Amino acid sequence: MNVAKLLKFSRCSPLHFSPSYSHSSFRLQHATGTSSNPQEADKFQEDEFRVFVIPGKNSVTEKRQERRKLKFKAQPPRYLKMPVDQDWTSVWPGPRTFHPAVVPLPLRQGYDKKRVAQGKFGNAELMKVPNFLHLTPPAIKKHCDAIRKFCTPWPQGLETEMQMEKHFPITVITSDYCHSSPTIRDIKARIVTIKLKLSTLELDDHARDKFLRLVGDRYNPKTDVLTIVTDRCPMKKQNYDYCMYVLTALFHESWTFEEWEKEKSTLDMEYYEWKDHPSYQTYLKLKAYPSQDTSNIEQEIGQDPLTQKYSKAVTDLFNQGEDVYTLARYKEATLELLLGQKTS
Amino acid sequence: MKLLYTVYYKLQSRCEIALRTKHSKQDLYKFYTLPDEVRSAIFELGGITRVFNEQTQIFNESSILIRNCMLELVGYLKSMTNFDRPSPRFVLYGEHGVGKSMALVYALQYAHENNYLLVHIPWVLRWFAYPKEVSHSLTKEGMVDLNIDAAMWLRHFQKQNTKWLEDPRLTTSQEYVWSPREKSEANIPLAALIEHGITRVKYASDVVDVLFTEIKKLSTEGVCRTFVCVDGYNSFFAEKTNCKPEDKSKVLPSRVTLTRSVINLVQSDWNNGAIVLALSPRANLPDRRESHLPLYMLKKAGFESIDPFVPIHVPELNDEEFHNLLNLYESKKWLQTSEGREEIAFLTKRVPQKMYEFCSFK
Repeated sequence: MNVAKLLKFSRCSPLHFSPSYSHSSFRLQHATGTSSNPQEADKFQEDEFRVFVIPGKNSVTEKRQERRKLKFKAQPPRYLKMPVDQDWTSVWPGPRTFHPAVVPLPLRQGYDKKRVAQGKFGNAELMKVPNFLHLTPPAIKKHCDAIRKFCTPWPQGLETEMQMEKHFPITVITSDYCHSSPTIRDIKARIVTIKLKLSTLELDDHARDKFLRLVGDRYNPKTDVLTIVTDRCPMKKQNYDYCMYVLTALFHESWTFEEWEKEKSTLDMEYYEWKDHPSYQTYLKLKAYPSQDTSNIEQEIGQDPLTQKYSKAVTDLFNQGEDVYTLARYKEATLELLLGQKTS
Repeated sequence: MKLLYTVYYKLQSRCEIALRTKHSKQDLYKFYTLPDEVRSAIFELGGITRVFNEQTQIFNESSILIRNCMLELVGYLKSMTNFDRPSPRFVLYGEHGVGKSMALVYALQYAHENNYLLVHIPWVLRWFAYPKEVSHSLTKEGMVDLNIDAAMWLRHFQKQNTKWLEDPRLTTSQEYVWSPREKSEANIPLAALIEHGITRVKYASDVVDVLFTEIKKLSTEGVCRTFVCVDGYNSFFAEKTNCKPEDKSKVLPSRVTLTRSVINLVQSDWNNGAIVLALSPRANLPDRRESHLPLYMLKKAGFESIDPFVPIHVPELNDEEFHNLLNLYESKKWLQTSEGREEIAFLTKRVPQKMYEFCSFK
């Protein structure tokens, strides 16, 4: 029947000769159910149709080489065999890069727009970040138990932070380093840092000002903490001694008053003091007007609330810097002073 | 939003009251017209900003928006009762283009209506940025005179106070010797002194100095009530000027005689007057325009020269002012559409000068 037609049709397909082809052709014949004549089938076998070969397009090799199979079978990851009540501190005793087969946690790390985040196997992101798997609470507890025999009881009377600060105002910070390398020395171990609160030192206004100018940015005004770091000597002990020397020298130097310190002008002042500045003189003149003599006024205005208010406004303007609030207070004070208007 | 615009659009935005003295809170955010005769009497030789001048020509009308800071300033001036106390100082501050100079225009008009003697310096920076002629002072050691600028300012003063200068009570108190051959006798009218300054340009700076001293004296005696108004006061404390004398030496504003005279004028050693100063970031050098707050602009020296003063902030336009101004632009066909107002507000920060420039595609 129209088998030839069908075959003609199948000739158009990109398939070239292959065992599967003959098979499919047979099935086609069978499906049509028209002819079961073996002669005819043989005729088809003989009469193979030609293959149209496009040079370069059709691959010569018939089959892809199969992948080499692994010679041995990989073991399943270790975490699958771990008992639930195992001692984790002996599984992960020290700091180590993340290992997916050892950590029995279903971790994921990373971001994928379409899929769920990548699992822990072959995940470089998990290996990059430092982990604290060796610092679990039982590990720390074990560690503490081990070194407990070297500790002495906590001294009495140092229970609170206040008491500690009172009896030990200076904090000394040093570091020791332990490596598995040919040398046990580490150059960073020489650095000594001391910290103390400036309020624990006895300083008057002048001494404090001088002290702060000497230490510069080593003082933090927000926390009132002075930090001195020494690293110029090769040994820790030497650096510690030098630290103590610097602190002592700073303290005594700030208490001495040199001759040249008298030359400090209003511009060198660390804060704005109203009475040292021209603003005060103008204020006196304004108050004394129309007379030119300001000596009497000076005593009069001492306790005057308006003067207090105005002085505070100007001082704040300079010391706190100008913003909406300081300007508003200044305006309030000047309105009362110049026009006698009370706004509040 | 559209509804809101129409509400604003329907607002009565014209103020018909001619006198500044009678303006009240009800006239806030409305426009009033600056009469041409006032304009020619006070502002012919300066005092009105470039932008406002342009707008006036385009709209054929000089309408000024009545704002809170103007009423506040005038309110203070009205409330002054005790004229025996030293003259109070008011300082207007705000960002560039928000309308400080327009507030000064308003205050000047008020002062003019109330018969003050006006001492008005339109824009201080003009002296230091574009000086006409720079020469060494003959009377003050190491100082520098700006002759033509001083004479031009004298002309401005003369123009503004035509009526006052006819007053026979305004006379000099002492004799002034300008040079071995030239001197002014005591008790000559101020008008003659000014005329001398304008004709003998060489002595104009000295005449300005003398004039200020005399005005202070006359005010204190109660002959006249003086209104001092300086725009761009912070220029006096800049680090640089463009003044180049013959010896090419560096001239700071403090070396200019006019600076000394003006600073002397705004001190609190005279009464029966009021002093209004405007600070502008534009009056500072370009590297010092980060903030518009008075202490930053004046620095310590400038602040102390006028301390204590009443600071008055000139803010950006509020909702009502903003829509009123745009309504005016629309009614003058300067703006074609009532849409896009939010965009204008966002892009111009509601600074009127920027709004004008934005709406005119500059």
